[in-house]
Amino acid sequence: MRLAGLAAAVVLLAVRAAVAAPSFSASIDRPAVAPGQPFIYHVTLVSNSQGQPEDFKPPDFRGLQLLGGPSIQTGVNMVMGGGGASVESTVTWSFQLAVAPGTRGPVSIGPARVRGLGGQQLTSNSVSVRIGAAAPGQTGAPQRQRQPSMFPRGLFGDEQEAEEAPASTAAPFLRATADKKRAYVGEQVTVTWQLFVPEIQNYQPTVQPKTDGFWAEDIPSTNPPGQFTYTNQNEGGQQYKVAVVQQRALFPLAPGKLTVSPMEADVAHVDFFGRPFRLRHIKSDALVIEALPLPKEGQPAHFPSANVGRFTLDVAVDRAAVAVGDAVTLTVTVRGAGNVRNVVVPDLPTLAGWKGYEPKTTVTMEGGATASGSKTIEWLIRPERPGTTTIPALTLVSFDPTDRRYVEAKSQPIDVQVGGQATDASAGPAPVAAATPAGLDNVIAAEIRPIRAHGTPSRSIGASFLHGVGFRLTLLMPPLAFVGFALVGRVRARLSRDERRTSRRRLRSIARRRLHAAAAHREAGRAASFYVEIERVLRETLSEKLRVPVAGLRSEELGALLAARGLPAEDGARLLAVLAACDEARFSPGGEPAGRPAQDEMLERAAALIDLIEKAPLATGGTA
Amino acid sequence: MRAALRGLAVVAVALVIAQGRARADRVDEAWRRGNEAYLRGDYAAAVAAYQEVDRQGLASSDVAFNLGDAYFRKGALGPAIWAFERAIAFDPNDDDARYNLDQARKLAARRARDRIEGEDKDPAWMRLVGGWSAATETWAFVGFYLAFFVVLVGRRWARHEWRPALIAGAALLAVGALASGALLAGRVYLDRIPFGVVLPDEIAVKEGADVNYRTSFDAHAGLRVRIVDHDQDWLRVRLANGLEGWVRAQDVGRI
Repeated sequence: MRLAGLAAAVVLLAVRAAVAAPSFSASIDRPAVAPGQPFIYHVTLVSNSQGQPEDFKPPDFRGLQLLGGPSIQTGVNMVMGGGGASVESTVTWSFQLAVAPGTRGPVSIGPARVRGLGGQQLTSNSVSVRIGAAAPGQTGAPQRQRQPSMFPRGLFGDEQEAEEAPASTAAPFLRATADKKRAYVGEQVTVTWQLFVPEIQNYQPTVQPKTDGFWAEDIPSTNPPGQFTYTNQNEGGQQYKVAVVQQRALFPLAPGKLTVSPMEADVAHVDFFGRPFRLRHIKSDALVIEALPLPKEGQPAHFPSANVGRFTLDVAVDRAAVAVGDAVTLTVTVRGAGNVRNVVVPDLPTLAGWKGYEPKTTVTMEGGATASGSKTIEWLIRPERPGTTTIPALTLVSFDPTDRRYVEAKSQPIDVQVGGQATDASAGPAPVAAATPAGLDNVIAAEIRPIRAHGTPSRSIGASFLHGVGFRLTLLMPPLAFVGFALVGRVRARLSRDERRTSRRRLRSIARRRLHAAAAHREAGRAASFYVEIERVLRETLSEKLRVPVAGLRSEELGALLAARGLPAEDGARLLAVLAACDEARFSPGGEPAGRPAQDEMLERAAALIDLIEKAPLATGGTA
Repeated sequence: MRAALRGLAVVAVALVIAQGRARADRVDEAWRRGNEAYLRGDYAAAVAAYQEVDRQGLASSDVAFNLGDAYFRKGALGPAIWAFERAIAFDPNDDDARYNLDQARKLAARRARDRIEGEDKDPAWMRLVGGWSAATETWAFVGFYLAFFVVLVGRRWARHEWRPALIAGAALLAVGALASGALLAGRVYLDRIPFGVVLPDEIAVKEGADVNYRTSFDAHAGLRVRIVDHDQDWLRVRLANGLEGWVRAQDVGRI
């Protein structure tokens, strides 16, 4: 009995120990994913210890694209059982991933590692991602895993912790997806560009994707003109509004890896006045499509690579009986799904006794995600002699990429009765015009570069400027300005010369007047007045020459001024000596000391000095 | 009186600015409408919108290019070729336009191709002038020309020791102005030589300016011709080999 009790206690302990052992497990939110489709990888640590685990190491996501994360979610649960209640804490790390385009599955995600609260190293399980179509009902919001709890959320604070998990970081983005990554040459690959935005924003495409190496057909949009139709979608835990921006049907032109370049656009919020703000530039990924060569097995010679798809062939004439010279319209129609625009319609064979004209080709494309429609070639043929002509059966060979085989579509032979008389021109058989001019092949033309979708078109300002008035003004103004400058300079020089001449004339006039007055004083015997006049004429001449009043200057001040203005010292001394002599004669008690001869000499000296002052290159202006 | 005149001047300037602004808005709106219609697959509406932008006299390579794409998608290869030719005329370095022009010509050749025997190449000066855009030639000349005069006038106030260097600089600028001026003169002359592109898939080129004249030869979409004369609604066109004839003016798009 005691033994049984002991055994029960051991079992109970073992059970409790098992319950207490932390678990660390990884999972993904869906069993299979399509290439490019986001999915969530979770790894959850459950333990009965409180606290934060340390040293979390995510697995190596080799072969996958990491779109976001990790986001960490923590929770606390009360677990009842094992003879009591215990508190269990969970920590979940989540990553948003996608399988890279072109990856072949399955992709294995290795173990994650973390150090538990007890210090032990924990390793999660590996997870395998199967590549394929998305599981039904799982293309929308991935479900976040949560540990079951028997208590209302929030009772133990788990609500708040859960809300601390990732803040909304939803950013707009463009996604380019192709319905297939490998296709035969000429087989349709549908590429869809989708806009993901957290809220509706102004969308402005800036760069259209380049699809060199493909023939491209735009699939008509189902959006109303000028706006997008949005659907709500949960993407990696974030709520998005999703719109199809563009869909194109691409047909590879040659085998090999072909690239569809990224689409680029600007998205922005719009304020009350319609002005964009918080502008973001977004760009889709480039897509690589592998174009496979068409199978050689069963391929007819000279098979045109545009004839890939499912087509039917109809041949008809608008009348079965005509007269010679009347025109008959022979219509060859190819209908079906594929690159209808470039499908090579079988040539009309040579019909003896008939003349043909240039055919008219009409292509009608239908809406829908798959390129389909019809190509009609109308031949105008005219019989030149009577009889019955059989238009032979025409054969269209195409490759069906679904069944991976070559298929023949054949028309029925058609008889045309021609009545009346043969025309002169029917002397010999005339061939019907060839479907294509000689020497031309039927290769599919390459796709054109897409339109430019900037906000405003560029303007060639240079070209407009060249033909405008601005250019003529630019041509005329510089030489005119140059001539103007030259003229102004010349006029100023002339004016300056005139000024000097005027000044000199004035000097002479002053001198002549004063010297006459001095001579009159001499004749009248007024010696003092004579010397006053001589001194005045010299000082006035100097004032006029220097443009500075020198009347009140003392002898030494005048000497310094003359030296500063460039009068040679010897001449300055002569001038000062004459002025000193005048002073002496005026203020000497006996009046004039040497009589008339001295006055005659003084008059001559003054005249010579005036001439000297007039000719001397003295600096002018300023102050004394 | 003076205040009234000043007020009138302010009003006139404001009117001019407002008019320019309104025109720019009209251009942008039509451009956006064209792009949206194109992306929607409504190529006829796109053509109409781009033509509306074109009528504003924008001289834009982008507008011509998008118009070409819209015509191409619409299946109108002649007009598409014409539009791509215009885009290249605006910007000879527009590789996208050259690429699309090439594609449109290839496609047009599948329908019909004009073989011109004895075709002469454009003379060297024409190829030289055509190798640059009008904008590049204009700005190069204006830059050299203005700089030359600035240096020439500035020499008067320059320090004595700098004058030889300024004279040498002015000589170099004069050479640059002459070379770019010659290029620009070539451009102006070339612009006066009207070229055009055949728009319909096929036209009959007549011996005279009337539908009753005999047909000299047929021409097909995308054929580049030189317009040498006109008579009411008819144009006399010359092919690269000198062959001439008359066509309706509406059938030829001027580049």
